[in-house]
Amino acid sequence: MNWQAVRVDTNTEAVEFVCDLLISVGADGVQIDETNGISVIAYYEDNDQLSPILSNIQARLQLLSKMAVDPSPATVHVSGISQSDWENNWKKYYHAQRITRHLTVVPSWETFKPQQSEEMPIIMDPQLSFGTGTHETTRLMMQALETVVRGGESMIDVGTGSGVLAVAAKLLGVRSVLATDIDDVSVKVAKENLMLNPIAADIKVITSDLLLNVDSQPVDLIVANILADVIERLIPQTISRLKPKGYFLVSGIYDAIAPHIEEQLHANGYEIVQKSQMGEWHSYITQIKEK
Amino acid sequence: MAKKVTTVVKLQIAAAKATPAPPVGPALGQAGINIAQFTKEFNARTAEQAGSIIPVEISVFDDRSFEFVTKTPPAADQLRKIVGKGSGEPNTKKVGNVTLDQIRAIAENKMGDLNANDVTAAMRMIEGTARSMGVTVEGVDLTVDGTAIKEDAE
Repeated sequence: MNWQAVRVDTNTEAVEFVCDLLISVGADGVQIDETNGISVIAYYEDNDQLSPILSNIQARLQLLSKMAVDPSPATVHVSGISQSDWENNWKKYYHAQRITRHLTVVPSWETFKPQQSEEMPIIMDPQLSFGTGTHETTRLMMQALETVVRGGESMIDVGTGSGVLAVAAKLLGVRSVLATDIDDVSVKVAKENLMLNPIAADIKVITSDLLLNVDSQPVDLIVANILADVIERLIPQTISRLKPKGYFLVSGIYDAIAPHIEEQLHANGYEIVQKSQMGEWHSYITQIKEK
Repeated sequence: MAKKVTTVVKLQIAAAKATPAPPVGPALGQAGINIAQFTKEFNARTAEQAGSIIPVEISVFDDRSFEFVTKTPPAADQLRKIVGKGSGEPNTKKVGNVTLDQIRAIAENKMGDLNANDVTAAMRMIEGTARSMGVTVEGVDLTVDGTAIKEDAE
């Protein structure tokens, strides 16, 4: 998708008004740029709606002046931008990093030599999906996998993103993995990443809102590194899809909401076997409580 | 050695709903930040404020790690929650009315982020936003009368 960046040069007093103006005519937010004076930048899809939007912006800037808010200079600049202009810059700063004793994430564009024989590389190009492997929530989940995986398990990776955890699980000895994501772009990115890791080439990736499209026998492991509100919806869906004594590994839980998620796990019959925390993020290793 | 801040990126975006689409993608991508990591952190930290626009200032360090602080929703966003929407023609079309108590509540909520000496000065700033949106205060058309705050209000 192509976008048009609309930049309005303004001043300190009027900046809030200009932000509101640009959002109220249809932008999903604004950027305030103070590198050279003060400008507000908003992005609109490059389609036939753009022309009326630009006219509306000009008219409302003129109206602001009449409302005793002078937005001057109020000059409007429009320039085209495409996703390729911004999606790859961060890659210059993404390098191979050892995450756990066994797992090292390696960008697909770097060559890698293990420092020790037990070090296993996860080759990744996450593009715009979540999962470089370096975020606290992913680190916690890789540690949890190293703790519970013994070899030969079946697993579902819910909200796979880049596919980083699915690859990690296979490297640690999990036999079969089904990965899901609600976002078609992430499903495509995950499939591409699995192909970069020969051991993970047999992993199936499907588009699914959590476990709704999953029609498999109960598994030994379910892993989910998402966010608390989504995990809360997922918890009840996992019960019938987990074998007795199977593990449900949860990550992506921010500090303030952690007690609530613990309550939800207990209320659905889970026992928290291990809690871990890194910075403000929490993760849990859980099992269904035996009756 | 302490990390150096190379860029500060300022955005106003919807709480709990950040995606790699613009404005987040271009703003942070150009600064060299991993966009998906920012959206995950921002959405987690603002989950309780879903439905509001949140100003956020992201400090980008030389290794392209980042920290961010969020601020209170803009006055326009808070006023829109009360009256439903703003007016495209605020001088002629009024879209709703708020009370001085509501203006005061927004002013107090935003005191930390506004450059105002006291609550009355902050209330006048919020009134300015109401005026630009076609919102009356205590029935007073601010485009005509300027303010609904009486001098002895404090």
